[in-house]
Amino acid sequence: MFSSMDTTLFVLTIVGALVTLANRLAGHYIVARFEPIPYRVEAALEAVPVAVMITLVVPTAVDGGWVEWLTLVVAMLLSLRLPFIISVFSALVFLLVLRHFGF
Amino acid sequence: MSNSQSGERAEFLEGVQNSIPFLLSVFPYGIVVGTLGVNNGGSAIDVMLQSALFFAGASQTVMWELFGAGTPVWVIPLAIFAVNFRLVLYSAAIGRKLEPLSRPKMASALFLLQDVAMAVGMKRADGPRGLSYSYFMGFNLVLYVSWLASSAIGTIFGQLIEDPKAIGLDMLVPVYFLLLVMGFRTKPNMALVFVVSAGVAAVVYAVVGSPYHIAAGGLAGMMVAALVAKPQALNV
Repeated sequence: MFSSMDTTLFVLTIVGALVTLANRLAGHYIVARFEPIPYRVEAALEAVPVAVMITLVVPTAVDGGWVEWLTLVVAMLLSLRLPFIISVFSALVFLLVLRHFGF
Repeated sequence: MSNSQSGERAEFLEGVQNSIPFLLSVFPYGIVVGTLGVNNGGSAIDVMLQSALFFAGASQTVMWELFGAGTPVWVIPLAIFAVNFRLVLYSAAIGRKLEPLSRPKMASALFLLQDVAMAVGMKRADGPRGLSYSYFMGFNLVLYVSWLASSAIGTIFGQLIEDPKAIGLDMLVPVYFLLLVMGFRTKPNMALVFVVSAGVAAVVYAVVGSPYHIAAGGLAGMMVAALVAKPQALNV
């Protein structure tokens, strides 16, 4: 039973890895076929870091309470003035202090 | 040593150096994924193989959660595809920002592509020196090795992290991602993209659920960027 489970996991891992690699290669090689690309497509690609990454923060904001909200807002405000890593650290310290006091 | 060799070396080392601030997010995340694997029926070897071949934490988490819950095995690759669909968009965005590369080099760079690499790489590409292969590899190889090391630690000492919330682990990655996004705030139209993406993602997350909010919000933001684009704005 255990050996069959191991085989299942092994195959699953290989298939999952191939799916992931296909995703990583697909975007570039699809776009490369259409070079030079229209300016609107270029603008869409330039927007990827903001457009896609912000969606990864959304569940935290939707599921979180005011402590999580406030931490995200504080992080954003700090990042207007402070270097990246200092802002990250300060926002997390802010969060831990709030949680430490039971919020 | 020729000039171009020493230039590549300097770029590589700068990539290594710039990766250091991200170890704080990669390491705890890797430990969590490693622990999750051994707690959901994986051996340490299974977990390490997965970390070495995937190098994509969210999809690794999904695989272990579904596997541990006894989900039909054929469904799991579909879930992995859904969670990793954003890599298609990342790849499309960053492939053309890298200097022209041979196929094996391009494949090796894209194999290491993940969220942080995309954000830092796109930012670098906007700068005066552009995005070189050496810089990208220096940056990502550090993260890759850290991912393997932290996954391994997770399989052995996973129970070390008793309450992730008490040390803020649940907010670590979101804060990193939010501030990476903030790094693009001076680019034209990005406030609009931010609002549209976040808004659509929030609605889809609440109504349909994860992971569809990623593709929905991401594509909505890209579409609005395309709609408001002007030809001359390209040379900014």
